[in-house]
Amino acid sequence: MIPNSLQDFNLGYISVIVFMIVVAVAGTTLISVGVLIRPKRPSAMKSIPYESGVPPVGRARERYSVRFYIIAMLFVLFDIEALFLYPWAINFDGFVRRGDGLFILVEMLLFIFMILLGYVYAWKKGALDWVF
Amino acid sequence: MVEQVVLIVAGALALVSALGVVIMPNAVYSALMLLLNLVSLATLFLMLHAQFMFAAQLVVYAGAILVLFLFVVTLLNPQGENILRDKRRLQQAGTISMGLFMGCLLVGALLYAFTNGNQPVLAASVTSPNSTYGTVEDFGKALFTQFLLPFELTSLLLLVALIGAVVLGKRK
Repeated sequence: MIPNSLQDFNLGYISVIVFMIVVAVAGTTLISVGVLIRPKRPSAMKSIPYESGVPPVGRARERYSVRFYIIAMLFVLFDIEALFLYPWAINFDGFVRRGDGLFILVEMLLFIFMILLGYVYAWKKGALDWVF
Repeated sequence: MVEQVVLIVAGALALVSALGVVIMPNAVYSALMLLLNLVSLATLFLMLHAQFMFAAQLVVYAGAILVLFLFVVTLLNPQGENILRDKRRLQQAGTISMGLFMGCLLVGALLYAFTNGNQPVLAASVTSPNSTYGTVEDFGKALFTQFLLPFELTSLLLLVALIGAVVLGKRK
């Protein structure tokens, strides 16, 4: 039994789902066609990472530097900021029509300013430098 | 009809991928299964008219948090640890039976809710076919007027998180 609220599915999003299905089918088809028709003659020389380069040293699964993680954490925070721009951008036109354009503009500028402070802090602290 | 097919497919995918997260032998595969799980959950949010949640789930969770998880996996570099191949038998038995118990509890609660429990009554503004409830536009309207203060405080929260990340990450 399915609750009533699910009965009227927003059909506008069907295109998104169709897109996802097309992507999934295209991806799996291309890979499996490749597997089916290509010749398969593996050799030890072919499997090394650089076929005509220097021999690799050590294992591929080494630990990564923590620097990548700091960049990733900063990315998450700015990603959330960008997410809030989405409903803002959709509503901006409506607010301008009602004469509240300045209000919503200042509101978002204040929001971005606060995060800009954090950006300046991270920059000054050298978190964005590759070597620190 | 369409919505029921989508609901069943998304629900089944969410369930299978959640199982995959737990039983995949390689932690990177687990993380990719989590991606599939998050996308299925996003679809379920869409079915519940939570369109902003749908976008947030895709942009923040599937886009950013999952990258963070992958970085943790590569940072810690786990070597094929898996509960099904755990050598400590007592711990393994305890984890699996606890998981089964929680699963039974969940299924029992859902069965009760769908047979004996009362269905929640939704307002007509939500259930009517051309309702705009939960659209990104409605969400934004509420966020930028009624919930102005929480929205601005969110920026403060993000600022604190940013500074915290830099301070903790930079410490030698």
